Amino acid sequence: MSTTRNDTPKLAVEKCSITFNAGQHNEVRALDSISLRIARSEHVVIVGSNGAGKSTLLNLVCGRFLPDTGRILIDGEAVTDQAEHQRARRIGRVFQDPLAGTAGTMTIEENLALAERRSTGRRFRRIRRTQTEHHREQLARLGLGLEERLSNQVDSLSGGQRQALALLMASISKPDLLVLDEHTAALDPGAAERVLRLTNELVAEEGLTTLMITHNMEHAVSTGDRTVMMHRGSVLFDLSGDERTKMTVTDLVERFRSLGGVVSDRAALG
Amino acid sequence: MSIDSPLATSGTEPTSSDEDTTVDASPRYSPTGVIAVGVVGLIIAALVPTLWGAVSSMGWPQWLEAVAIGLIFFPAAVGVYITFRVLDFPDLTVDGSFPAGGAVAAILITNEVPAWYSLPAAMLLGAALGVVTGCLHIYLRVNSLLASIITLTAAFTVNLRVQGSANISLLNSDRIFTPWLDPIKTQLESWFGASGVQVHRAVTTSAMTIIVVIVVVLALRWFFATEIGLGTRATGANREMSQSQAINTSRYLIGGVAVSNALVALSGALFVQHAGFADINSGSGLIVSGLAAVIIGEVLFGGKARSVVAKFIAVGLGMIAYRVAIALALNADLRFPGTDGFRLEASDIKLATAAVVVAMLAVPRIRESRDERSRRRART
Repeated sequence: MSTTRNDTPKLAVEKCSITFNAGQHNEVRALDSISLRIARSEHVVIVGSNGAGKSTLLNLVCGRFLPDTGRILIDGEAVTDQAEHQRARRIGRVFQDPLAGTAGTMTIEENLALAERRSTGRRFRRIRRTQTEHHREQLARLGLGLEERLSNQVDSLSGGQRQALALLMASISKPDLLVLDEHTAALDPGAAERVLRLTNELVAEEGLTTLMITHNMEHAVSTGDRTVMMHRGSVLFDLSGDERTKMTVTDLVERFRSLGGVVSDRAALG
Repeated sequence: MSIDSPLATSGTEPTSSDEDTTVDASPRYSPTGVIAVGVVGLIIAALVPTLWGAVSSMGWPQWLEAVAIGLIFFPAAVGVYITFRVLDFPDLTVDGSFPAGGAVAAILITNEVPAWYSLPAAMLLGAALGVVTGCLHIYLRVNSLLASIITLTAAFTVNLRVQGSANISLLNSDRIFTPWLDPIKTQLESWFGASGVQVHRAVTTSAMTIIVVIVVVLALRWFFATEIGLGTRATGANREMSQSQAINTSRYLIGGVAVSNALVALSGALFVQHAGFADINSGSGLIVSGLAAVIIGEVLFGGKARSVVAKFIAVGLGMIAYRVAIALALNADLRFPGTDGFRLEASDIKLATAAVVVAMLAVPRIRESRDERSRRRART
């Protein structure tokens, strides 16, 4: 890379394509030569209708799917061929399903201890017991009273609490990239609002580079500092700066329609 | 899975429960409940004299023998627990790794290798079988049960090759128990008189096996307190999440299955040294008795256990309880009218065990569907 370190995007997706069921009658071109560069500490929100390829893009970035063509760089380093667990050292991820991001049969403390070793790798080394105070402080930031329940099984938490914990776990070892896959979509409105507020706080405090998917057009313009609209596997438009600040939900939907998109009721209603 | 209610994800109830279905059913006084309680009550009432007969007819040697066998199978029960519960990977390989451990121990001991070395050697072959099953599942995407049946079939040949013949006797070789038999016999005779004579074998086996069990439990306690141990538990609890937490779940799963089968092989190696012979078919049905131990242990001892190690101990105790129950059943004299007495034979145990496991597995399911029915009633 000839560019200096600070000019290197945190994440670069270069002309990636994925086709599912290639050659069969149900062939789907999920990503169509998509390119996306995310700068350090940028908070990018991705919107798009169902089947636009948002989730496929996240799975591509996280390594669950490999691209047919194209490459992916994190901090200038090609990770295209790395397996999901290898890339995960640099990526914190929160899933849509609140049950997916935490281990229900383990305690809150064990879940945090697990996340703490994400970036460093694991060895035959005792789990540090001195971390309890640190864990308490971390949990206290969530404001959910979880700091008093360190030895409770995660099974006993509500969906919102579990998602907040998953968020904390994803951001705990300052990942190069925080990936949020519609992480508030499965929560009730109150919990969703809380988790989103926590997300914004954590991202701002730690200066995390964030890639977030949402179905919610309101969140698409109110959260983060860049909005990417996806359609049929590629980027339809990409808003940031002043242009984005002035954008309202109605404008966004209007613009999407004028470019040939179909807005689902769910997306329009938020 | 979708979460439609805001308050969903209250944890599922642990399968280990403190109440019995019949007790559960009675407060509602539904006719079926009353009938169920009545039938179960009658059966218990009919069995009490029989059971009492069995308990009183069992002498010290039989009780101690049952405990000794239970202790020998302690590591195997923990092994089954590790695959079945910790890794959520139902693994039948154990039926093959038990005789594998026995075969390795038998062949080393008859070739005059110091008996203690036979234990780690047996564990190595058990672990290797576990690795084979794990690799079949991970790399060839074979379903876990099928993968383990394939390994189990292959293991039969391996075990026979290792052992050389379907049966070998170890009675004339030095086993880990032999050096202690005489001192313990003398000691018991000095305490209890000549009655010590019949129990010294079981006592020696128990004493030595307890040492092995303590070492195993301490080793597992260390392992599951490490980062890798925690990663292993996470792999079983939630594979998707584990990958996103940078755990190589393939490797962790294979490693976990290897540990499990090593423990089962250890039991196999202890068993042949106690029994004095190695039999190629000795592992058949081990998975079911292991499951029985897991379930009994969880119900009787593990209800409130929090740490993994406490659960291991509960399951091991469950195995001892299971062996004692078998000894009782074999001693019970069931006299049905019109027959001249009916005794359970050792060969009847497998059906009985299978029935117990099915019954125990059915309890949570029955409770679930009953709760579902009552919820439906409440809505209408």
